[in-house]
Amino acid sequence: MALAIVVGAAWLLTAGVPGIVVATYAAAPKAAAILESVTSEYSGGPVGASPVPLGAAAQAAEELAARGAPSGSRVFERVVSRAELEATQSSGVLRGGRSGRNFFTNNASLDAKWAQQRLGLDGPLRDFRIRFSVADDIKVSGPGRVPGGQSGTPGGGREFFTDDLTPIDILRVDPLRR
Amino acid sequence: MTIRLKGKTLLIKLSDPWDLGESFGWQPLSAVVVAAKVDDKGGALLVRMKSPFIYKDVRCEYFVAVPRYDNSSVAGLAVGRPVLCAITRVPEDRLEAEDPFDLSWWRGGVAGIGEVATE
Repeated sequence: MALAIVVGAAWLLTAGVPGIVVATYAAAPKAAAILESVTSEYSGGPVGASPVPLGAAAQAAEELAARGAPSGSRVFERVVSRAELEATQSSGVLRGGRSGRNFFTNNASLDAKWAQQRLGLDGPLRDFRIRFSVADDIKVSGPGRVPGGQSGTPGGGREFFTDDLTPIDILRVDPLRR
Repeated sequence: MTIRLKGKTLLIKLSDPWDLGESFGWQPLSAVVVAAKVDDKGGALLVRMKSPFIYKDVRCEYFVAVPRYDNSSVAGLAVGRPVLCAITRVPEDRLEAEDPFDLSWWRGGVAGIGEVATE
């Protein structure tokens, strides 16, 4: 089955701000549904901040293919601390395989404070954004709207999650701006 | 409205933040419900850790748990349904507050997200 690559280019053009919306799927109807679900909101940071370079969607798709990710995998992002990054890299599992729910998004800002705001995070600012693929046989729930954090971060970004051990293929690591 | 959760033992399985989870090895935290309420926002729980711990020089014994999502409620715990909550450490003197569930004063500190379930 031909691989359908869905890029939210139309939204990017109309919004006039950069962002990344990538989903690779083996089935076009499924891809269409995902496109509808992920192209309605911008969570990539302050307008003009250019948190993700133009063409990043295509770049991510190329990275996915170059890394040998299986067809049908999906691409997401999570902002993490340095310690979590190291645990994730060494284990190949989201959050290093720690217990609990694995939250992530489809588009995290590279601005640490903005990511904190949009993702409703508490605690210290995160250090890195990882972009990763998840195999199609892993149940991913969402998207949903991120609720506000306890420390007043408003949330509003897009949230997905898994409850099971989630092997991932890290496609890219970017330091967050402070 | 009061629901019958006071005195129940709960297990809190933290998901975030990373540093807090690492500090106690991500083991489920056992806590007792000190007070509970239900309102149109899903209610809230005031719980006391059975084994208080120190995190970043802060003694963590009492927490307020509030459902993370609009469509969930702590009332679900009464029928054994786990609830994903925002969990916020509060100082002991908050137990004497008129509304011990109120977090409007909170400006930062120990907080996380975790699943709360009855033991």
